[in-house]
Amino acid sequence: MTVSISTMPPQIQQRYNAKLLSTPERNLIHNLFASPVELPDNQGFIDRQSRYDRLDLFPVPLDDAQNNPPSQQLNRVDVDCRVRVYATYIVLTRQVTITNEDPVLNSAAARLGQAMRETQDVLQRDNLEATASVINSVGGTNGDLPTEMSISDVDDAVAVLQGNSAEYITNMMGGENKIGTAPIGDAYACMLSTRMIPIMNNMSSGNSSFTKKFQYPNIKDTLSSEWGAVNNVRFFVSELGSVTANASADGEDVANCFIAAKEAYKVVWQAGGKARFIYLPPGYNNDPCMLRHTAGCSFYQGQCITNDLWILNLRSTMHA
Amino acid sequence: MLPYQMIAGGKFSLTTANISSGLDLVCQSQDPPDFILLKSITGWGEASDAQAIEWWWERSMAQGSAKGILQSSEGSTPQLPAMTSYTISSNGITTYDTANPPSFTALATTAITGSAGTFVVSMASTGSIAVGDYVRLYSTTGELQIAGYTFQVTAVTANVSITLGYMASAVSAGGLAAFAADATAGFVEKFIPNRMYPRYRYVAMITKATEAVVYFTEKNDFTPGEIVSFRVPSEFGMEEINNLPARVLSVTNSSTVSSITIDLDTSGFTTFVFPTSAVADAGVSPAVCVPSSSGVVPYNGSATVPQEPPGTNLQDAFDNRNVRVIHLGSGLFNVSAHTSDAEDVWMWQAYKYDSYQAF
Repeated sequence: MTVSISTMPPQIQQRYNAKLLSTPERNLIHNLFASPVELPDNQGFIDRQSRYDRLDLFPVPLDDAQNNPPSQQLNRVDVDCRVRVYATYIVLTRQVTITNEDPVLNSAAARLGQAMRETQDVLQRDNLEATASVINSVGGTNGDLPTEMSISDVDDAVAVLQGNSAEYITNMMGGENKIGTAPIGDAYACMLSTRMIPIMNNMSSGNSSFTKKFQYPNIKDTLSSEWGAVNNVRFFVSELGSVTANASADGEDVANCFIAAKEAYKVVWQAGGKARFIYLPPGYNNDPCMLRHTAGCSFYQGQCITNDLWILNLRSTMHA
Repeated sequence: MLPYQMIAGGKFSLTTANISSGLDLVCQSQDPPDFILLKSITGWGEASDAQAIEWWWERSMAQGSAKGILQSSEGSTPQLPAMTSYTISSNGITTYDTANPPSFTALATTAITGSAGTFVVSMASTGSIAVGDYVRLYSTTGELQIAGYTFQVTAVTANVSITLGYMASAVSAGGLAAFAADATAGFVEKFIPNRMYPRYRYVAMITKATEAVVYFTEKNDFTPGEIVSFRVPSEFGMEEINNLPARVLSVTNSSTVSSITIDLDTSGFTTFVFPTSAVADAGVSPAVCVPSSSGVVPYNGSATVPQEPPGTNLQDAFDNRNVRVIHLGSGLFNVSAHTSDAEDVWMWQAYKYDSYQAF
């Protein structure tokens, strides 16, 4: 009998490559611009932060009698945010961990960490979706409502935020002597779905057009999730970006593009409840024969907007 | 694995609304149940009353389906009612978490009576839409001013129409001008909203009053004392209220009216009115009421006087209120000739398998 590769036993045909393949990991964008707040332990589970409203201006001069003017009332606004607990775990039999070639518990830890971070991101996304003020894109040409996002829509959103005294998140990136680059203005941050990439790339109006990240004069102060900028907004994309199905006037999917100013929203963590990886070896949890490992993670988180005037949901369709 | 366990259970008394629209049970475990069992406590062996007495759902079955037992009417002694096995393929038992709800197929509408201000949506098929469900309108022919809006259903006539009663009450109670013309076609899509709290609401009407009343298109979850703010584009008339904050004095969430009364004098403002369909077609943003901040709880029984000492409103804290739901559809309680009665008491149990083997 001739010996060929087809007659080799499967164990000989196959080699197990110990280098694991990459697991897709989504961009985490929704907590990037949140003000982090720590809730101390043993002080309840609702974090309250307050601000004092502006006082009225007083442009009328006192007259010659020099009477005292009326007093003003100082008004305080409170914002409450409840912290909740989140947890998940996996169970691995000891048989798996002592027979599998790659260190499966290490992979479990990595995947738990990824699931946790993506969950934290989604919680903030859903919070912004529920609470941010809604503006429809109307400057596009697809005839839907909202239309696809246009530069005029972005400019309108910037005008609204500027009109509300909202501060930019990033400073201007000055022009440099590099061909094909353009300066980037002081900017608010927009968090949106990767499905919006074609719309962003096609945005142009007059002398303005979308500046992709590779056209920035300097990319040292950028993130991998950043896609580009136009006028005074920088755009950050994620596969987890918010999309509402069939929500346009024509029944098309609508991207909820959150444009945030500084201190517009926050994320609250409990001091004693920060992200934890919890490994329990065989023998715990009603496991008298020591057959099962468990690996889990938990975190405490609350999320809320802190000033409703400083964050917008610029809705946009994604079709031509 | 955890041992096979009963992860949740309890009992409930049916109401008339439950029978017509179904009900949600909150399953506190994060695990999706593998097996759900319902038994009628009061109906089991009840004399002379044909009804369903047991339903179950198992993970291999389609969401929304259920299998059960119907008990015939029997009044003799000894009482030996016939039991009949029964299956329903929709509007039965569904389990989901509200952060990742199921989606529903859009259904066609042939008319929306906006010109009469009644907002009755004619539909040859109303599908599984029940009172209290959330729906979104789109691709309407005419009435583009509410295309893309979300509403809560206040009445259903099966396979004839649904009523968007909260919108209608903005006309009948709030004084909103009826639309110029009806929609003559379009689609209605049922959806289950995420329960991040609080949520912005579409404004259906704002009255001109010393204490304005704001009407919404669906039930609202604002609370007395909470501070809300408004985004009202000029196309809606009352643009003076745009970006203004206001304290909620009282909240109404009845079967047909969703509104809040606020401590804001809108008497001198421009009248709130929906843009025409043509204006909406040209592009307009919706009028919305957004949560702004927490406030002092009003004195009990008073719309204007703050509680003394000041009461802190903890109900309005931003929160994640998503839950795992076991939805019991109205189909369980409305089997032809075996309809359940109000105040029937049912027990329910949800189980998780230790090991599940499907062949």
